[in-house]
Amino acid sequence: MKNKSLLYKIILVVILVAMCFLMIYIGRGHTIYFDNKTMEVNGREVEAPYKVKVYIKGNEVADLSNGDRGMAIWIGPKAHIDMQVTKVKGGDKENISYDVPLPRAYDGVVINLVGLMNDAPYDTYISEFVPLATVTSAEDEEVVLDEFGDMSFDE
Amino acid sequence: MERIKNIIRDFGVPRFIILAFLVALFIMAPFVGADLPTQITNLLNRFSWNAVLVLAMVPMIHSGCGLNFGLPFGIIAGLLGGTISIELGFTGVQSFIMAILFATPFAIIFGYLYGVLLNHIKGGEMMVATYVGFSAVSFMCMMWLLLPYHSPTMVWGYEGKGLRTTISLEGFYDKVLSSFLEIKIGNLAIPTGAILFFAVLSFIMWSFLRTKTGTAMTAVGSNPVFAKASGVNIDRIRTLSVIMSTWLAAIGILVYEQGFGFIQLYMAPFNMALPAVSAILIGGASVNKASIANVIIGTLLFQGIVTMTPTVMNSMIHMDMSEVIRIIVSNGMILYALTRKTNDGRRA
Amino acid sequence: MKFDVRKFLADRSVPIMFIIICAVCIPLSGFSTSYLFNEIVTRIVRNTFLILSLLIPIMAGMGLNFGMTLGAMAGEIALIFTSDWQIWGIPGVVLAMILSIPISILLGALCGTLLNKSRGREMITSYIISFFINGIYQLVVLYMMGPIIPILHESIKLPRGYGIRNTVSLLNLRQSIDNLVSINVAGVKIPVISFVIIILLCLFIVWFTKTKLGQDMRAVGQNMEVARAAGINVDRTRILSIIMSTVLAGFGMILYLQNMGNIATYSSHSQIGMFCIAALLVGGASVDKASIGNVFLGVILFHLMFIVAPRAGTVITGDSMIGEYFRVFISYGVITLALVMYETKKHKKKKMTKEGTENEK
Repeated sequence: MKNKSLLYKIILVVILVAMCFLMIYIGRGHTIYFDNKTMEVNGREVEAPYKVKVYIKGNEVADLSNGDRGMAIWIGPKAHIDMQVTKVKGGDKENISYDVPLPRAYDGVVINLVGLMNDAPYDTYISEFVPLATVTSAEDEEVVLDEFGDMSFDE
Repeated sequence: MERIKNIIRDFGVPRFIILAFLVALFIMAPFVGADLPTQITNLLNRFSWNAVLVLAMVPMIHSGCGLNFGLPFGIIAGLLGGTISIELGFTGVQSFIMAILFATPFAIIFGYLYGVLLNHIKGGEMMVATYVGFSAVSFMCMMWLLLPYHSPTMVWGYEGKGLRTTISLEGFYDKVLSSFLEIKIGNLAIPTGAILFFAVLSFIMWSFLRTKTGTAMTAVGSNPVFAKASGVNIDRIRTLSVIMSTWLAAIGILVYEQGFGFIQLYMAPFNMALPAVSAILIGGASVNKASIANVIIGTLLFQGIVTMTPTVMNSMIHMDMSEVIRIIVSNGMILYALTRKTNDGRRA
Repeated sequence: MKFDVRKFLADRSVPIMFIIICAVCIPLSGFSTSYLFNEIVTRIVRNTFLILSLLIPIMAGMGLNFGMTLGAMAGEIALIFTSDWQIWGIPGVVLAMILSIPISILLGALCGTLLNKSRGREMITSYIISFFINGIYQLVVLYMMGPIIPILHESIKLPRGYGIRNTVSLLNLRQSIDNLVSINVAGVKIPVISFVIIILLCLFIVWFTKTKLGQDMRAVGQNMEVARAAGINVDRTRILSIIMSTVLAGFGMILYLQNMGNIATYSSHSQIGMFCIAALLVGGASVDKASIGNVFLGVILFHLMFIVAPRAGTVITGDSMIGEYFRVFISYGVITLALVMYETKKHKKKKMTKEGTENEK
């Protein structure tokens, strides 16, 4: 009886710890930045398309002309990105999807869509987004005031 | 040898730690460039502001009503006295005397009601007292806005009604006690008047505890069965002790204000019970035992920590942890007192 | 048995008083019904879990657990870490809950042990414990996070380089559970999953009271001596009840904060115990008896009052602060009233049994 309940406790702890790691794995959030910029792929210059619309989970998150940058949020290790690409002005629209693994270590991930579409090596089109020093100290958070307001007795 | 052991045990480990901490602060102070006379002046000043509030704990502890967490109730009586005195146009020393006179009837009425209430709930005084205090403070928050005060020094300028959150006492009873017979030696200043005032009140309290009623009060607190058997009206004595505590709290806040220089209204009294409670506990009192010596030692130790920690800590590690230390020390002390077994067997 | 109308009303005096206050204030405030319904639903979702965490210690006879603040602090620390590690959305909420468990258990065990040492004055002790641990919490969050406990992101640290900012944003966690499945009923948004979680907790509590441990707690709550004589480990049972309450309060705080969308690092928890206790008492609970029904009635009535009182106060007196102070006064007043009623009852009972034994002699 005693041993059995100890066993249950150990199993419970193991499950919780495992869930912790699972959550850390599937819950890692990234801010993804999409660059629609001309880049060099395997030694040759590839021109950015005229327009790329980026969809995440069915919502349009960015409408990028040549040289633009867009932004979206993704939770999880692998971002699923749907795109509608217009190569030249007035040309055909083409729908494509990609699953891009996101590096754990980066909070902000910059993906060059041109590299992604042209099968460039992974680390040439993925880079870390480094915010400017001023951005980190900015107080632009959404502040919801404590609902019970200004009546704290802060002992 | 046995006696020394007993003394150490009675003194308690937390008190020892606090004392050691304070001694360390004082030893450290000259090394970090703090001026010792200034520090002592600070300490004496803060002692003189707070000592009466701590003294207010004594009667209720003696009569077995426990720690007076309902201190804000008495403070409100004092605030009413102070504001009425200013409203009626008294200034200078007069305003302080009148403030005490006006506060007294309020303190007696509040104390009586509070005492009667506490007699109905013997054994659960402390928790009820806490919330009676809170209710009274929040009720008065509405009253400060609604009562017909008109004195331009106290009401909000643009509306002409409703009291301000802080009222300056300049021209009224700012420093009336502290500056009385003040002794100045270089950087050292001793607020003689305020300390004398406290000494007089303490002496009255000390002599009272030795009168017939006073000993009856102690008996009610330490051995209610015996007190009842010897014909003491327990409820009456308890009510008397609560009235005394409440009145002392009212006087205490006026003394505090004269030193601090401002009247603080609205939510300010909320914070005032816990420092006073922990001060007397640090001084060696327990939930049902307290003396004047406890008050003096406790206030000195507590205020010593409050005044010394910021200066010493700041210059040593460049972190102002004084607020956090104060919270941990004062509440830790109360917690220690509450979790100690009371050896009179009144509570199982 | 005859139905005693007076007793029925007297037992429910607090909820009835609140219904009257609300009935007066609602028309004065001039809020639309759909606005009020939306607000009430939000507050039920936000607060019910926290209030439910109070039930178990009451069952074990330990009174109102002012120490639930400890759980709230554990939840906040867990959320600070998830926020720093950038674990977002529902996984973030789940992770925070799991991380809060060990902290809550530790704090709950400490609180329970101290309460066992201060029998007869558990409430004041738990109340002081919450202040004491708040000091420790500040020490950890304000001074140790950064130099001793690693914090990855500068953005949640104070500009001076250590300690956590006054607000930690939970933007990417915000209402992730509430918005998972939500339906719209006549203009009122109902977050289904949040309600499911609350109902599951209710079912858990109902089930728990029927288990061996639950029965033990009830026995300890009714009479410690009898329970001890029956072979129940009283101290352990009481500590367990506080631990459970603390863990549930931690979960409750995480759900509360995911709904709010940010943590007020140094003030979110300071009031939470008081408001939860007030709400429970408004629902008709007392210090020694509380049910799930009290929780729901309380959260609705208390928060209805909280929403309408400031506006109604402004209409009546022309001053917006009056209503604010009024609701604070009511919250404290309700707790005071409940404490006085409980202690009076206890005092009377003690007196009667004492006289009874004296007569026998």
